[in-house]
Amino acid sequence: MPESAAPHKTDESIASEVQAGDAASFGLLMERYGTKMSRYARRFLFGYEDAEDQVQEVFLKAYANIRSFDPERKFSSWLYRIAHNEFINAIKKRGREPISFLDPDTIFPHPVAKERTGDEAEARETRALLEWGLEKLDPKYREPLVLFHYEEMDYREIAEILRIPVATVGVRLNRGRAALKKAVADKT
Amino acid sequence: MEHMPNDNSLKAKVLAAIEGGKVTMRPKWHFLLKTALAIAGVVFLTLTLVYLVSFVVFAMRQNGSWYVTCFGSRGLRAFLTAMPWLLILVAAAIFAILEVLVRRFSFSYRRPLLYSIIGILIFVSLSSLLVAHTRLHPGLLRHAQERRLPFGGAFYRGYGMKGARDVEPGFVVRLMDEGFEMDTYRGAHVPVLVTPSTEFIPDGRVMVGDHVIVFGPTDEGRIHAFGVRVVPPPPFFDQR
Repeated sequence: MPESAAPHKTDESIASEVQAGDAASFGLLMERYGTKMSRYARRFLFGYEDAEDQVQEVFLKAYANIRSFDPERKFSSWLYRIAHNEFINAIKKRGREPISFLDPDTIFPHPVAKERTGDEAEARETRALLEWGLEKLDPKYREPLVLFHYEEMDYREIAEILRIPVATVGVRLNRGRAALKKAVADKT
Repeated sequence: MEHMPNDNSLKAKVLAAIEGGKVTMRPKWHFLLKTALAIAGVVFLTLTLVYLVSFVVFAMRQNGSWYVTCFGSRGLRAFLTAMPWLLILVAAAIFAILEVLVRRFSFSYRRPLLYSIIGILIFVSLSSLLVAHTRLHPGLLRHAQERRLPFGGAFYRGYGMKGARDVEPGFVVRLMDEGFEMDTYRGAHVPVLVTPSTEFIPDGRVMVGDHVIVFGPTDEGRIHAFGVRVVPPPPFFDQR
């Protein structure tokens, strides 16, 4: 069933149909999320040759585990969580970049950073910086920046995907931006 | 820029894998079982932790070392030396596993790690002190002494009856000019020598029948007391 045949169905209702055994409806979800997942992989798994395989693996895992999805919740967060796990595992397997088991940012409470939205000029500047220096960032800073600036998610969604406190999302975004600016300053 | 497949080829590959049976949907009960096991794991580890910590408190009360921290740095040293470090290491390992398990749940991962660590510490500490005040451990120790415990007897006899260096619990049976005589809970009758520098807690002297912890070295069968502390009577001590 192509996307055009079910334009008004929510992701969650399509996921319910898949749960009930309609495997063909899974194709609809893939149409909706294929490009997004590929973009997420391309940005987060910067320089990883098998990003394409990872995206395929994300969808296969999503299908296998679809009955664990609660249709009362948001499908996109659930799918991005699977993608996050898959991509982190890929990074760990390669061993090229450090992924710490315990992140000090998640240990202590931080004041909740005000969500920075609306400043299009600043967003454009950050995106330009990201295009230039994404691979220079630690994965723990790269990922929230990708989710915020490319996937256009809010702090709460990012927190749910990464399973970290909302305040930590703000901390990582600020540190990621600062690291990017420092990298630019070092270069010039 | 890396090349990614177009959506149609990705979709075709995934749907082919599904139709070909290479990937199948896991049943709902699989996820319910996983959640149930995680909850059971949290409950089991919490109970084990409470049991272990309460046992450590019980064992240290039993040998008297729990009460000697009030005697300054010497008392603190005796307290640390008497701690069952192996049990504490095991408890720390269980605590770490419990923390990892608890982080799976949204009520935990949505907050800083410190909060769940403090939450578990407070819960386990309060529950352990509560359990340590019950008859659970004295009862099990008695069963272990009478060899009526089906398992764990050696554990109770080992840790529960282990004495602490320079610390002797017992009760006063006779007052003397130079101190008093006490019957220890390990069944010995010991004279205790008291000097003007001996610290009494609470202030003052002891009376016949008082349950006491005597802190000081033993020399030729007599204890030279640095400190004497009157403590609550049983159930913390097995008087047989």
